[in-house]
Amino acid sequence: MFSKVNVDIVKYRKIWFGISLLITIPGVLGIIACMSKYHAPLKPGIDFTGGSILQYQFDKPTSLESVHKVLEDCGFHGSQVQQATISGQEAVVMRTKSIDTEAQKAALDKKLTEELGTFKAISVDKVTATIGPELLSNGLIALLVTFGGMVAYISYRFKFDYAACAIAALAHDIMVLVGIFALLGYFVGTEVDSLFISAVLTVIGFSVHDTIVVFDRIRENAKYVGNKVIDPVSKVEYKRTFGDIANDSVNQTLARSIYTSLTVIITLLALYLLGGVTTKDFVLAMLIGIISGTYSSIFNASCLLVWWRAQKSTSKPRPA
Amino acid sequence: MSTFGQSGGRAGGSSGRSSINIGAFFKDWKPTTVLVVLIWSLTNLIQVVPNATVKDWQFLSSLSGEPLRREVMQRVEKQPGYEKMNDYQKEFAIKSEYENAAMGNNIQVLGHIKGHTVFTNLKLGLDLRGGSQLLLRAIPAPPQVPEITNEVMTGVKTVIDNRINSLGVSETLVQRAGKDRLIVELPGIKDPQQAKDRIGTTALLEFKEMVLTSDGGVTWKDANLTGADFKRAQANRGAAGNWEINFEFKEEGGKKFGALTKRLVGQYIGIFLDGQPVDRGPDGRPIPIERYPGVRVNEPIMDGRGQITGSFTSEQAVDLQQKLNAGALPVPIEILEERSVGATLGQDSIQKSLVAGCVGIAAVMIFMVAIYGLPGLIADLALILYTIATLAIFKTVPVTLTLAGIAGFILSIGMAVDANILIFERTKEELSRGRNLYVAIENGFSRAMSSIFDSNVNSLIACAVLMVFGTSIVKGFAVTLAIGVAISMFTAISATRTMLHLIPKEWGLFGHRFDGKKVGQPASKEAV
Repeated sequence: MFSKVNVDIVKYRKIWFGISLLITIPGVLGIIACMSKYHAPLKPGIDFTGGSILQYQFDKPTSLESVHKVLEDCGFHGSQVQQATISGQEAVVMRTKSIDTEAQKAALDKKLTEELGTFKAISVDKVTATIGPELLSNGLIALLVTFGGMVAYISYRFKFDYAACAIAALAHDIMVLVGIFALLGYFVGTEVDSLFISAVLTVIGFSVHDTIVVFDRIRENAKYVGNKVIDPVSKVEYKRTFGDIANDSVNQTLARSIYTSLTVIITLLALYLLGGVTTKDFVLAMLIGIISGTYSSIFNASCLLVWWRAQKSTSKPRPA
Repeated sequence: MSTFGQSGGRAGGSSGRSSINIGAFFKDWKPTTVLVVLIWSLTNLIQVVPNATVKDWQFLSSLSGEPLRREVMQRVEKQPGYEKMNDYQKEFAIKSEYENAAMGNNIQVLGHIKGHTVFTNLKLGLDLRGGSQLLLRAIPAPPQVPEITNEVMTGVKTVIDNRINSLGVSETLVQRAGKDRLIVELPGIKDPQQAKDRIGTTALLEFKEMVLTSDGGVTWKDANLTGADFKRAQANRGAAGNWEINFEFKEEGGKKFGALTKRLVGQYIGIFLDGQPVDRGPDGRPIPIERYPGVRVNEPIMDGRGQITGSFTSEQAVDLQQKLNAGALPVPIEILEERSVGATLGQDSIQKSLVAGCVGIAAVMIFMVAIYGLPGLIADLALILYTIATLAIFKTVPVTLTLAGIAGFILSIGMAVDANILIFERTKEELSRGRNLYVAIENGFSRAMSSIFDSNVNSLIACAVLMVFGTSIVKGFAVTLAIGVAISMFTAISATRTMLHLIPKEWGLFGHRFDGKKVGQPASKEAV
């Protein structure tokens, strides 16, 4: 389907980098906005800040205000109360600061039953504030260890400059993902939880997976660098550069990149549209990351590698 | 796009079958392995049992705690030859009944045939079947326990284990996590509050002697005698109809208790649970320490027995008895995290994930056929093998499937297809270079392998890191993804390759007809 397509990807690299910038800049702005609003680059969920999310299904219809009033009466100031639909039934979602003792929770449940009637607890999540920083530092360590492991592996199987470019493409994908979630957090209030960290790590896995397939092709074709070929249009003989090889390699793997990404996107879309409420944001994060990962492995990683090689060869004094 | 249109050999469909390359089937290990894996997976995954048995399991699993114990004992006693059983056999019989009860909670019915139920039993996480997960942290208690060591944690775990078991909930799990943490999983628990009350308290029973201060007040001095010196405790209804707890000291403790009571005849000692007087006031709460009168020692108690009295309700008395028997925690603990999911939400999640998974797989399969035609169908068959084999591994390990885990599994389906796509694209290239069918497939594989291998190793690096640093939710996701990646390599190498070789030469592949000679015709490129 794509076998006749031959885009000069390396030639237009400024355009591709430009598109990447266009996407990342609003993301950076979103992160700055989140910093001023939530004092964190993303809107942190209770996994990081500590707090409680209670999802209750009341047997009698209840107004959100009345639930809110009970929360205030029990000393949970600044709580949020929302309506949600779970398995086809209305439910009330209460977000409060951390409920530290069991007695507080028991008092709240008692008061809710007294004022608003009986209810069924659909889910209860309570996280103390102590655990958040640890989760974050664990996440960051995981991120760095993954980076390190991948750089080591790619350097071993390929070369260090391949590894550096793969990681740069990866950093781009993480920026896009984090940026979009910062914007979502600022405008829609999307929170990130510990699943978000695993979404980021999955995107890392996928993005490098994708980039490696392209690099594998470049590595295989690299032996043709310097071969003399005749330009079909101008009939002039020239030596093939690393850029030409990279371009061919990207084009040769283009069909595969797009097909593979499409299959992953199809499954994720099915999960996003039909899957449970609990993992919606998680799946959305993976979707964004994988689309960005496909883009960066086609357009950014190899262009970066060509640019890197060009820099290196010009900086070396050429033999006369 | 399709391979069928141009292949001349299609006309003689029946004669084409004779040319199926059977020889390739037995040429090496792969085809046989594929069959073995398929058979193993299916027999492992699918079970068929009479409907009545399944109903009985489900009845058992609807019980919990004391009623369950009673039912199990009744059944075991009714078994033929019960009188002749030795203790080991009895224990085994009881255990298998409990396993049946656990089974009833964990089966996913696939269908019914002739009075039999066809089902599989994958282990589902708490977010899917409902239940509570608690993350506990042990807090150092200087001066006795200035630091949480491995031994302290082992002690904490044993006590928590005992307390959880006394709740009578089946399939509970208490697991160490990090230096000072425990993860407690209580599937399908109906009253998480009761569980937390029982887990959360230290249950440190201490005996103290009353000391009068210079200003006429009262303080309590540690008598170096704790619940750890107990042999056992038993809740009883006393003569006056009040609930009381009788206890018996171990030999060492009995001596200490004897010496203490001998020294303090006519004076008062106090019994404290977690720092508060053990006696309850009329409101059912421990009475304030300043109003606690203590217990007058009338005579030395040398037989190592004693009792705790107060206004206990029967529940409080039994609860205290169980706490004392389970032992005191060496250090206090706090609940860092609690996640409880009701059964309704779990059901909803299972249903939705199932639908999403099926739709996702079906869509990918249609996509593959649309892009590649017959080889796409082969990839689909490999995908089915992949799905079955992965689920069978999940069941065998066993991997606890959580919502995130299912997401990981569905994602790995997308990645499993990638190996096929890589191979097909390479094979296509080899074919357009004029290689014959067999060589093209073999070359396609060997050329695709380096990228499949390198890319999958990278995914596994990410998974390994997640398993080491992740929280339990994240770990579930990483494990399923890693198993998926590993199996996808296997199915791509073995199943897809075997089946590609089975395609009759006359049919060709990717629009390249192959007659056994080199076809060096680049013109066929357009057909792809």
